[in-house]
Amino acid sequence: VHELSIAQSLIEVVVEQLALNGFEDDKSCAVAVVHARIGVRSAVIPAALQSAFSSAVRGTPLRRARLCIEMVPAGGWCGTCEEERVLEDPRKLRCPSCGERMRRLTRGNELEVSCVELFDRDVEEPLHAAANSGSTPANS
Amino acid sequence: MQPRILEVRQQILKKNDTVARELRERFRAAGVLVVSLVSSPGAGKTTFLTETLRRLKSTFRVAALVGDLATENDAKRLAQSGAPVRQIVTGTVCHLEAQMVSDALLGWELEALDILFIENVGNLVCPSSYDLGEDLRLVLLSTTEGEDKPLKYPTIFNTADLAVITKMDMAGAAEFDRAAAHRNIDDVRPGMRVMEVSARSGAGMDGWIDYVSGRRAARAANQEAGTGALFAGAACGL
Repeated sequence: VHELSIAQSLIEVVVEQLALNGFEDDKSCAVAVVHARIGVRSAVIPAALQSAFSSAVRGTPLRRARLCIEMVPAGGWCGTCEEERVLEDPRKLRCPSCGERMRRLTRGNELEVSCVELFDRDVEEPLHAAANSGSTPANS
Repeated sequence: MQPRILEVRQQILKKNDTVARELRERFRAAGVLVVSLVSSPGAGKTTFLTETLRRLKSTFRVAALVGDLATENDAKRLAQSGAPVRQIVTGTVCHLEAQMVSDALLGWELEALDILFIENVGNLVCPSSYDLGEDLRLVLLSTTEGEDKPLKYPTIFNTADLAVITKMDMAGAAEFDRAAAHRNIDDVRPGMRVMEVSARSGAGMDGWIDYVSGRRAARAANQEAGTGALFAGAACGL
């Protein structure tokens, strides 16, 4: 149950990025959604991370944020097929195609924050609600 | 207009990774080989490590850090080997982090050590994500635990470099299925080196001691080569 440590690190990373991008003012930049990528082989349980996240955000600029987790399947490099394959059984490093042992995992260990959606300056609604009303998201 | 999506693309544990990288550089510069041990509670880490320290002590300058949620019992047991030992009490945290290792090393002269051991909190899940700057990570599995541990905790086996099967003296009584254990380890981590030991009877310990001694010798040789290269570089600079 290290999900609380993971949630705290995740919040730290987002808060740091907000500051680096000039969103220090808590009121104008509250985060609506945090998108994270978690590998199935990362030893992090998504439900446990969700509940750790909701208690760890208290008192932070992320306090109104929702956590959206994308699970990344486990993949390995098969030296025989010379191709990357998604593992059938994520625990076993065996090629689902030729059955050979695979040397290494190529994905499935991810613990990453991909992006955050911010509330509008005055409208306290997540981006997808705003997008539905016709406005387009702008990239930095 | 302010952007409403902020690209982050950062590792959640980047702070730990940074501290671990700094530790690794310090360890390399000091020429100390760092070996960490992970296992479930009760797999025999402390007994294995006490015996390891006792055997290595006459040849190498060895020391150990030991992490536990509470109590300093393990540090006291390890100290019986005569090697310097420090306890890291983690409180509610179920794993060691690089910063805890860094803090625990305050005041220790790394140059005065050949091999440093770090015994993690007994846990096969949480320590897997945290790099401690170690050169070699051992995952211990005891004959009394069940051969399917690797399949239940594939992540920790995948982050480790060497699997050590402990309590081999109890294998018969525990009806330990040796072939199944090896097969399961090989399934989660093909080609992983496996050693079988009994710290109590001493079986297999010579092989392990030879292996870790060899790793330390390689580190020392690399360091000398590195220093040589550094001097050569300085000479070119002149």
